[in-house]
Amino acid sequence: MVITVQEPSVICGEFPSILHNEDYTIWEGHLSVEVNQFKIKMFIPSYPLMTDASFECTPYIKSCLQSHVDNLKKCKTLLNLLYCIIHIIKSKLAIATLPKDLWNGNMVKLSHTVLMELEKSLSKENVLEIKESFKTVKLKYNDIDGNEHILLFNVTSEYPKGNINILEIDLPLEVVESLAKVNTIGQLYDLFKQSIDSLLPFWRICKNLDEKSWVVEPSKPQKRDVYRRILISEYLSVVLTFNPFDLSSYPDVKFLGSMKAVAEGKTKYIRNLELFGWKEEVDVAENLIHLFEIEKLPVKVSTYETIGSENECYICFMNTIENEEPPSKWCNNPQCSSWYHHSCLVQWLQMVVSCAELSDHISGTCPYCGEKLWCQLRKND
Amino acid sequence: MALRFSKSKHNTKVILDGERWERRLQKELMSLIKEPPPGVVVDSDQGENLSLWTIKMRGAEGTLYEGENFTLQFKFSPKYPFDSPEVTFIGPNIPVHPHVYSNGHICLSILTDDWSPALSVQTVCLSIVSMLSSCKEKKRPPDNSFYVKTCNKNPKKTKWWYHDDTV
Repeated sequence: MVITVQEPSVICGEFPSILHNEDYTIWEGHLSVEVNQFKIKMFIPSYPLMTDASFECTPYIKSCLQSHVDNLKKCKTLLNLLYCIIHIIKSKLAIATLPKDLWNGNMVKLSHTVLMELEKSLSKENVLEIKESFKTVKLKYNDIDGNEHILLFNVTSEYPKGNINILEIDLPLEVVESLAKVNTIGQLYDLFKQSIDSLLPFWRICKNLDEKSWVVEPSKPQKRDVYRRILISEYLSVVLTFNPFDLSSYPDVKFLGSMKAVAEGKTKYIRNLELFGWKEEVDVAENLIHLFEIEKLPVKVSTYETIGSENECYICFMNTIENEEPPSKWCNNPQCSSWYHHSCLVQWLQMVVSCAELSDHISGTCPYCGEKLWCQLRKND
Repeated sequence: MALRFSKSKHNTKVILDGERWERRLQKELMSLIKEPPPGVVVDSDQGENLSLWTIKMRGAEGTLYEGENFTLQFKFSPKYPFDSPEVTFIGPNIPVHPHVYSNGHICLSILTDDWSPALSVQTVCLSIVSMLSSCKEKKRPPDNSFYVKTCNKNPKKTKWWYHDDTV
């Protein structure tokens, strides 16, 4: 049999409730036989060849197909196999009444509604996953800067009634709040795309700042983060909070550091801001250099040979640990490259007799460079 | 010459997450096998017991120890890396060095007082290699015979007086 290149599109046309993955090796969805829907997942590892093909289905369908395995094995194409399966089920249905493991009408309606909406508002390659009987959906959107954005949500079984719950998203809080108010999947995805497109200028500013300065916090900036704590000098850092939708206004600035450095920095900043203003034509880094009257912003350097790779805790040599925030920078020595999990650092400081433990924080020295440092104690320490 | 009186800086309050430290040891072993410091050879087969390692060390070229082979033993307590490893030279050839006793004990501050959890087997090996390499005269510590007769088997129980900081 000749396999035509259009087979996937033919299958999609004939069986609209079946979705395939990128390389056509997994086909998942529902087969309609008369008024009934059957869940099926097919694995075609060497598609379009049917070598080693297999599928998962409900026990009832399996029992229907069992005696026809040899016939199914003869199918040389997926389309052929699907027709074959439907034919067998049809003939069985004619003599048997429907068992309980078939989908109830409600579920069929839900799957139709969800699929129709997905089809209407976005192309298939943007649907990454559909799980839990069409209730959980993972979508993606690639912006023109080449970033992939993920949106994971679920709907109630009464959809389109009830709320859409967003389970996973990496966008600023106010965007997530507005997304939570929409009622349909179509509207949700449209607003998701719109928000991302309107945030692009903001993310470009952040990317530029991240490259030109030493970002102390967040340790790994995400798309949702609208603030950056960056070093101005050895003893002064500032927290810049942006309004991602109004980039013409300058960021809100908070000063952190030694009393003397903060007082000096603040005076310069306020005076220069009044005199010269925030220049829109140059980037954030350039503005900070002017306003703080410094030659350049400190950039991240590591003069020490690192033991592990970046972002690994210098105490346990691990990055991710369950129920634990990722390692972050605790030592204020700009030359020191150390990162620690909060729990690892606290555990060490508590073992060192010379460390001063006060009610809510503990101070000691950095295990890596010896610089004085302190960190907060949390309730469970 | 810097004299310091050693005080134990660790108290006993430890809440251990066994798995975390076992994973660190495993990781250290792998990286040491893959990229050992110069002159250091680690046998990938350290046996079942992850808390006891033997490491072979070769005297560096152009130093007093050129051509000599040594064996180091690392013992890790369950409190590692908050507690320093117990490091001693073992086997027939103990380097003759002003900071190494004839029973294999090493007088090196990072092994006791100056230990920090950010140090590792790798950094300890490097310190020992550089301690040997910078030696100008092969001799035992001045108090060797008294120390070897009276000391505890565990070198960490010794209250060290560091002879000097330079070697």
